[in-house]
Amino acid sequence: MTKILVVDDEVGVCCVIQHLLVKAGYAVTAMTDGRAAIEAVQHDDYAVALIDLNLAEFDGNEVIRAARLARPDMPVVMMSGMVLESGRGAPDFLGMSVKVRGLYRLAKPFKPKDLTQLIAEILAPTGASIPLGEAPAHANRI
Amino acid sequence: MPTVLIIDDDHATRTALEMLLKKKKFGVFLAPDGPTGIRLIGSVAFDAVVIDMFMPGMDGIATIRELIKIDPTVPFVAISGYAFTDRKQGAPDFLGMAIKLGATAALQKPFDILDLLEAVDRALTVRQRLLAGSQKTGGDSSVVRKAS
Repeated sequence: MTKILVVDDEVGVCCVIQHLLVKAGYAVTAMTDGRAAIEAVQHDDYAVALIDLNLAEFDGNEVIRAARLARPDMPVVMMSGMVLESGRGAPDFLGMSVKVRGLYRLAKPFKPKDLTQLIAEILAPTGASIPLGEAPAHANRI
Repeated sequence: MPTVLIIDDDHATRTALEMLLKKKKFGVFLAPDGPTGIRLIGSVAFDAVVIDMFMPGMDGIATIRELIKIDPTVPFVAISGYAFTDRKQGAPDFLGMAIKLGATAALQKPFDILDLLEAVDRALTVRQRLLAGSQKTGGDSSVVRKAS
């Protein structure tokens, strides 16, 4: 079963994402702590990691950097609710406008369907032959 | 599958509503208080929200106000264990307040199961209408709610 890591400092949000992904047929490990997430990525093999940028006690970017260092081929979905703070437009995810291989975004609040669709597209069999970072048509790749 | 968030501090009510809505094939998520519910709404776009009016800390009206700030297209149903319009005893008109804030329905506990299902169905219809209108207006959902 495909293993997915979810990192969000909100327990409730972790539970909702876990529920949605488990229902979609994935095995999900959810964590609220950034340091524990880095250790998990270093020791376990996940097909995808969803990481919230705004972790309470740990910078989500640090987790993403560590994850990509430990698993360069693992697609990472950055989650952010920054759109709520700015109140307008889509978040630019800290100005990361350049295309980064294997890095995707998911703006909060997201529709459950958008979440499962994005994961399915990232993991689609056809995507396996595509160089990492060449996103499926509908994926929100950075 | 439509997703519904239930915000209610009463465990029994949350569980009962969860069972009822799951039986009707809804995706149901629970929050025991307003702040938790608001954080969930900030992360996941639910199709409808059921909100208890009387909760410790952040009450239903405050929760509704925050909900609208985050996503004005999310329809919500207000529920309460107290009489909404008992003006003789000085209780505020929570029914009127919730409706004024945009609730698609306001139900007093104990309410009929069918009434709740009808209210949630109505909320989902409103959601679809708002989203369709939002697409027509280029995605400015706040404008859509004001117009509805």
